[in-house]
Order: sequence, then C-alpha cells, then structure tokens
Amino acid sequence: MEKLLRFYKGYVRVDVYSGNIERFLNMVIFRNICIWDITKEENYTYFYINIDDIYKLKQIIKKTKVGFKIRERYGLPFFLFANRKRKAFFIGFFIGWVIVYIMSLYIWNIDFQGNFKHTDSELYRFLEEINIKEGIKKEKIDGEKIEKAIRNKFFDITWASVDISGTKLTIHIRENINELDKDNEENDDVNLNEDKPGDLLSSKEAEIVSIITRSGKPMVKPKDIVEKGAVLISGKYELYKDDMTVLNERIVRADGDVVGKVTYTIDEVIERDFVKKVYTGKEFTVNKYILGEYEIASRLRFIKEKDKKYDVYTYNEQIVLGDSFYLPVFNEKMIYREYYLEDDIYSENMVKELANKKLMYKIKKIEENTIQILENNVKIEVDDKICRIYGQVTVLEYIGVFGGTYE
Amino acid sequence: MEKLIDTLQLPKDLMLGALNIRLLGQYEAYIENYKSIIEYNDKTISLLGKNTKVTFIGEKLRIVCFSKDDMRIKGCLHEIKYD
Repeated sequence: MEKLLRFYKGYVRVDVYSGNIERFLNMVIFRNICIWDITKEENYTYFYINIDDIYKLKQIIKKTKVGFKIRERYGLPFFLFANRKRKAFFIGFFIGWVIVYIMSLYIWNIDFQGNFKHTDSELYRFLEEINIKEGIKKEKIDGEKIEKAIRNKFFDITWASVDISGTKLTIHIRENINELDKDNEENDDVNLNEDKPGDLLSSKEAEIVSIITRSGKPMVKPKDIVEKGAVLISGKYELYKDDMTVLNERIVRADGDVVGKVTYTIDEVIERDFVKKVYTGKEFTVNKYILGEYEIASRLRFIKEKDKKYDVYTYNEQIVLGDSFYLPVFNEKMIYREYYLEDDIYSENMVKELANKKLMYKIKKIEENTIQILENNVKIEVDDKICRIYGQVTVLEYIGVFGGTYE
Repeated sequence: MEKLIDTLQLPKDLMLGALNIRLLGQYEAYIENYKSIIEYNDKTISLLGKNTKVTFIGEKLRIVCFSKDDMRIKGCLHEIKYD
C-alpha cells in the first residue's frame, strides 16, 4: 500500500557526495523529512525521497555543502510527463475507462438462487414478461416491484429479494417447501388409492411358495401356479351362518405377503463385429467472440474437408471482469476433432467381459426386488460372429400388487 | 531513580530515555529513542542515545527508514557495542 502511494506521488533517487553524511542525516531527521533505503557506497550515499519533500532538502544542502544529484525518477508523475506526447495512448486509455463505465450502468447477467421447484428458465421467462432482461439499465430496476411481481405470480414463493452487484442481478427466492410436500402427498394419495377396498393381484407368472394374509380371503395356496394378474387375495369375503348360508358379504382392502417362485429368461445376442471411432489426433480450435449480433472468429476460414468426420465440442462462457462485472460478450470455443470409422471385431476375452457386464447388470436389476436367487444357469457362448447369453434365473420374490378396486 | 520507577511501575524507556533496541536475528535491528547519528557507513552505524552511545558493527549495513524517534537498520550484524 505504501509502495502504491509512493508510486502515485512519485519519488526520486538522490545521490549525495560529502564527507559529513552524518550531519546531513541528522538535519533530515530534525526536519522530519521522510527518506528511505539509505545506502552508502564508497564515495557517495544514495537514498529515495518523495518529490514533495525534495524542496525541503534545499536548505540542508546549502548548510552542509554536500554535492547533490537526482539520479533516477520513479512514479506516476514522471511516467505521465515522459509520455505526454503520446496523445493516442491517453485518449485510448480514457475511452477504455468511459466504455467500462458505461457498461457498468447496465445489467449483463441474471442469476437465481434458492429455487428448487421453479427452474431458472421459467423465472427468466417471467422476468422477460415484465421487461427485465439482460441489457437493461440498472436505474430502471425497481427491486420492490420485481419482488412483488414474483410473489404475485408464483404463490409458493414466499420471499424474494433482488440484489445488484456489479453488472449482475441476483434474485434470491425462498419457496414454501411445506406446500410442495403437501402437493406430493396429494399426488401419492391419488396414485395409491389408499384405504379403498380391493384385491391383491399377482404381478408376475409364478409358483406360490408361501402366503400370509393380513386382511381379505386367500385365493391361492402354496405350489399353485398363477398367471400374471390373477387374484391372490380377494378383498371380498362372506360371513356364513351355521347352516352354511351366507349371512353377509364384507369388502376390505386385501393385504398380505405372497412369495412366489419367478423364472426370468435371459436371451441376449452381442454381435462381435462393430464400428470403431479412431481419432486421427488432428484438432482445430475456433474461438469466437460474440457481442449481440456481431461475432469475431479467430479462424475464419476453417477448412473442413468434405469426406472427413469431426466431433465438435463447444464451450460457451460469458466474459467476466473480476467477480461480478459481466460483459455482454460471450466467448464460444469450438474444438473440432477429426476421426474416421473402422470396422473391428471384439476379441473373445473382450466379448466375454462385455457379456458378463451385461449379465451382471440384468441380474442386479432382477435382484432389486428379490428375496433370494434360487437358481442361475445362464451361459455365455461365443462363436465366430456372435456372443449369446442365454439361460434362466429363478428367484423368490413378493409378487402381490394392489389393484382392482371395487367401485 | 531506577528503584523509584520500578516501584511506581512507570515505563522505563520513557523515564530513563533509554535506547530500545529490537533485533531480528542477525539481519535487522529496530531502534527507538535515539537522538542523532554519529557515524554512518556500510560497516558501522553509531547512534547517540540520551546518555549512551551505541555502535552497530557489521557488513553491508544500511538504513531502511527512519523518523525522529525510530530507525530500522538492515544488513549483516556482527557486534553491538555500548560506550
């Protein structure tokens, strides 16, 4: 900081030739003049002093009769003086500052914070409706008005706050999460039809292993084989009199655990020949700077050969000065990677590995709602052209699913 | 005099006008309460206190900055002598 101040004010290096430097220094101390980095060479002493203080030295120099010379000049005043004839430089500098200042009067980036349910683009669209978009003048932004508009439009936003820092407009939002939960719960109710009476159905073709009924009337017994959609536990049951005539019929929501033996058949074929992407290692980068409708590309005449294929990666970012000074300039970087296609064939090991991976994935998916795997006799066979995965997996799982409500 | 200052718990450097020297290793010295410079070159720096004289002996000595009351010396210090 001190150095910056010195640079701003300007300072000089002074050489002093004298036998009696001590007297000179004592007088400098006595007059409270600030000098620093005093170094004694063989026949002279040099030090640094602010240009404001140099006139105060004159009297001391007279009194002590020392030889005195200004050796070097540092700092802004000298720099400006040396460059006084370079008008274009100063004009450019000035125009630069003016442009930066004018730019800083507008908003160039809008950001939302704290939104979970409403997406950024949804809020952004709404802001556009009320004429708040990038490129608007800062002074035209009325924070309270925006906050009110947002709260009126979205009922579940309970709190909104508008904050401008630099050229970035940040809108902080608090959503009513309880309301969100309530919505979800309502949806769940509709889907599940909880408390409504109905049957428990089989979700799969299976052999019944065990059945535990909590409510309702069991319709199957162990070792029965059921189709998909068959009624496992009925929600209707009758109460009989002593003479076996029906007294009345009751309707409940059927509930229970039904475990079935389910067999999954796996039959998959992987072809051994495939098309491979081979990158040639050739790469082109096109840098584009986009300002509104204008754009400047670094490689205007990019030669794209017709019969060659390219992968294109595009990166797009807005240019920021510091943390929050967003400029209306976008940098688009496109990287072209050249490749060609080549026919290839999987080796036996490779194809086996691939098949294993596929099988593991399938079994994992089956396992998700399974109690136990009883039997797994899936085989992997490889011949010249294809690899075949086939076989059956037998598992125990809960097959009951609620459905078939009575109206 | 010293006893009196001790009993009254007054700041000694102010009351006695003694030199207050702080050293940073062998490379830097910070001196307060000096009166004037007696000798200055790259091998010796002599300072006058209220009732003592102190001499720093070393190599490549230079005064980094100073004001009326304090001074910072840098260089390779070998000796500090009181007369």
